[in-house]
Order: sequence, then structure tokens, then C-alpha cells
Amino acid sequence: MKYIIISDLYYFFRKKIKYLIIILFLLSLYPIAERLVYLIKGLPVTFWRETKMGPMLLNNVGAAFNDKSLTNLSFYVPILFYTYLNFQTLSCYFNQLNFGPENVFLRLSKIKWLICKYVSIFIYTIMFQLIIYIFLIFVYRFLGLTININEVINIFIYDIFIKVSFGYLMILLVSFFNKAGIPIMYIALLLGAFNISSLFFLQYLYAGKYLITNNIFLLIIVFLIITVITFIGNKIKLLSLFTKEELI
Amino acid sequence: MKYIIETNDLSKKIKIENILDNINIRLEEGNIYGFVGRNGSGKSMLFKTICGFVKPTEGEILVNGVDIYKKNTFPDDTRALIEKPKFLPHLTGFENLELLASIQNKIGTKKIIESLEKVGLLAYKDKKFGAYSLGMKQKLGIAQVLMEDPKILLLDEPFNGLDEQSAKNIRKILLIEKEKGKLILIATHIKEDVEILCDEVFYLDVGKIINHKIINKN
Repeated sequence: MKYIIISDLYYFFRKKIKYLIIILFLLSLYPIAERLVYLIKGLPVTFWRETKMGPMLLNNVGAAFNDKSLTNLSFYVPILFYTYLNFQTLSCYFNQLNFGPENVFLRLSKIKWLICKYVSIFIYTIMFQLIIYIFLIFVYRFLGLTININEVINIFIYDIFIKVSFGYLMILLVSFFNKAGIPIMYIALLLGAFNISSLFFLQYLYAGKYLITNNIFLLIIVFLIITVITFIGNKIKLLSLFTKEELI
Repeated sequence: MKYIIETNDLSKKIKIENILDNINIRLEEGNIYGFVGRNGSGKSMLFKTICGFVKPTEGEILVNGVDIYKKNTFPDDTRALIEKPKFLPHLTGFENLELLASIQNKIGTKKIIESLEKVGLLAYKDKKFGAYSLGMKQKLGIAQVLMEDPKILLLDEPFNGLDEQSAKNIRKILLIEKEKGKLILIATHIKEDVEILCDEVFYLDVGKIINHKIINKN
């Protein structure tokens, strides 16, 4: 089983790293644009330093919209980020579909194969997010923003669970819907994901500096429920998915 | 008599069409069985059903005495090449086999190399699968079936795209595997392929076995 996971991660780092570099560049445009607007408008430097990091990070990683943002990029960045991440998740899930069911399932049970994929997606999302967060911290520091590491870690942990849940739901969506249904359902799921994200980050955005830490238990419960439901659904649809070659 | 594969009144219906109709076969080890029929006669569907990928509408399939659909499992120690060989295009032939072998981790590099050599693909082992010709893809599919020394081999149109010399070589390999006590199932639409090779041949049409011939069986 571990070789399938290693192969998935290897595939990502060998084949998909170029997309990560592009996305890093695009993500850095948002804080740079915000900073430029501050400079153009002549807003005080202290205001920028003390208030912007949390909402900006949430917006930058696609966790929530920043309605106090000064640029239109605050709308596009989360959509771009989610779409990119989902593309990678699906790519990881479909990576071995070209093998055909006879090559995979005569060697490995459906449950074991799905476990491999779920673990791969989880590990890949953590690694990917880690790179993004570290990169953004450097960009923020370069732009003169005050960095609060506790804040960053809190957002990171919440964000991982939300992003992985969303990835699992995406797989289920592709498994159950046809080509015409997928874009419609994707938009619905995207809106739902922002609402779920907002639900967990709302208190942070509007009320205070730190997340309410007991929310993490609720988030983990939601994550586990989504994992179990999507696992069962994906297991049912797994074999028929191997024939959906046009989706790969 | 203990049969390795046994089907009882096996049927598969899609909408109103009978894809498999009341199939009853008993297959023993150390034999090669041929399934002959024109395109759409149900050969590939029968193989997919035996592998556990398509659920029958009626009847049962016992592989080594286990009803694979009741147990919701896939048959043990079985390898198959169904329809066309499917591999990852961005990996080389060797890397594809290495990845598949690593799933069960039963064999090492030596066995993979041996199977590639057997089918005559060793010289092209480092070429990407996406750049393989049809014949080379077919050979890699056969190498994948052979490499882990399974007890049951299912080969759907194994001679597709092969030149005469390669086809002859594959026939020779299959006869050696038979001598080792393997159960081999071959589906083809070319009568000559099976009549040289097989011990028994089932003729299919519209999902039904219309004829059954014993050819080379001792």
C-alpha cells in the first residue's frame, strides 16, 4: 500500500511542481496589490502593520473572503486557489485509473486502494499547504506585515481539515455526476465550502485576533463524517469510475 | 473433481439485452480454455464477470470454491489482460510493472526483468509506455499477467497487434505455463489461435455458449 502512496506523492512532485510555482506567483500578487493600494491611497503604515495579516492570509489561502479588502483580487484568489487544489486532488485520485481495474484490483482490494488514495490526498494537501503558508509568510514579512505565528498555525490546522474535506467531496461529485453535472455541482460545492469555511473563521474575522480553539473538535467531527460518507460513496462508484476514461 | 472456476446459470442483462445468457462452465487447472466469438458475443463481459468487475444479474461464479459476489471480493492469485493493455503513459514499461509488483511486494526486479525478457520487451523496458507501439503494449500486458506467477490467467485477445514471430513466442510461453499447472483462459475471435493452443473451446454468440469442443485434452 505504501508504494501507491509514495507513487502518488512522487507523481505530484515530479509532474505537478511547475503548477505549484505558478500558483505561488499568483498568490503573491494579492498581498502585493493590497500593499500598493495602501501606498497609493497614502494610508498610515501602522494601520497596515497591525490589522491586515489574518484576513489577508485567510483570503490568500482561499479560506474566506476578505470583505474589507481594497482590491478585486480578494474575490478571485479563493476561487483560483480552491480550483487549483481540487484539480490536484482529482489528479491524485485518478493517477492510476489508466491502469484499468484488472491491473489494480486483482492485486489490491477496493477498500485498501481507497485508503491509499485518502491518505495520499491528506499528506499531499498538508505538504502543499505547508509550502504555500511558508511562502506567504515570507511575502508578508517582505511587505512589512506583522506576523503572528500562533495565528498562522491556527489557521493552518483549520484550513487543512476544510481543504481535505472539500477534496473528498469533489471526488464523490466526479464519481456520481456526469460531465454536464460536474460544473454545476462544483459551483454549489464551492459556495458550500466557503460557507463552511466562513462558519469556522467567522468569529476570527469579525470578533478578535484568535480563533476560538474549541471549534476544532466540531471541525474534526465534521471532517470524520465527510470522510466516512465520501469513502462509502466512492467505494460504490469505484469500478464504474475506471471506465470513465474521458475524465482523466 | 475440484474445479478452479465454476459458473452456474450465469447471466448478465443490461436493460433488456442479454449480455451473458445462462453460462455454465467448469474449468480445471493445467488446461487452456478458449472462448471464441465475434465482437459483442460476450467474451470480454464473461472475463470481467469472472474477475469480479461486473456483477451478474443471475447465477453464481465460484473461484477456488469462493462465491466472489457473495463475498464481495476479487479472485485470488489471478491476473488478467482484458480488452486493451492499460498502463500509465508517463512511466516506462519497467516502471509500470515495478509499480504494479510493489502493490503485493511478492516479486523483485529480477522477476520483472525475466517477464519482460520472456515476451521480448527487455530492449524497450526504459521507453515510456505512451510511446509504445500496439504490439509492444500488448507484450507489456502479457508480461504483467505472467510476472507474479499467478495460478489463473485470463487473456482477452492476447495476440492483437503481435507479429507472427511474437505470437508464436507467446503461444510457446502459454504452453509452458500450462505445463506448470496453470489455468489459462483465452478469448479471441480468431478460431485458429485457439485450436492450436486450447484443450477445450467454448463458442459464444449473443452471450450464449452455442458450442463446446474438446480439442487437445488428454
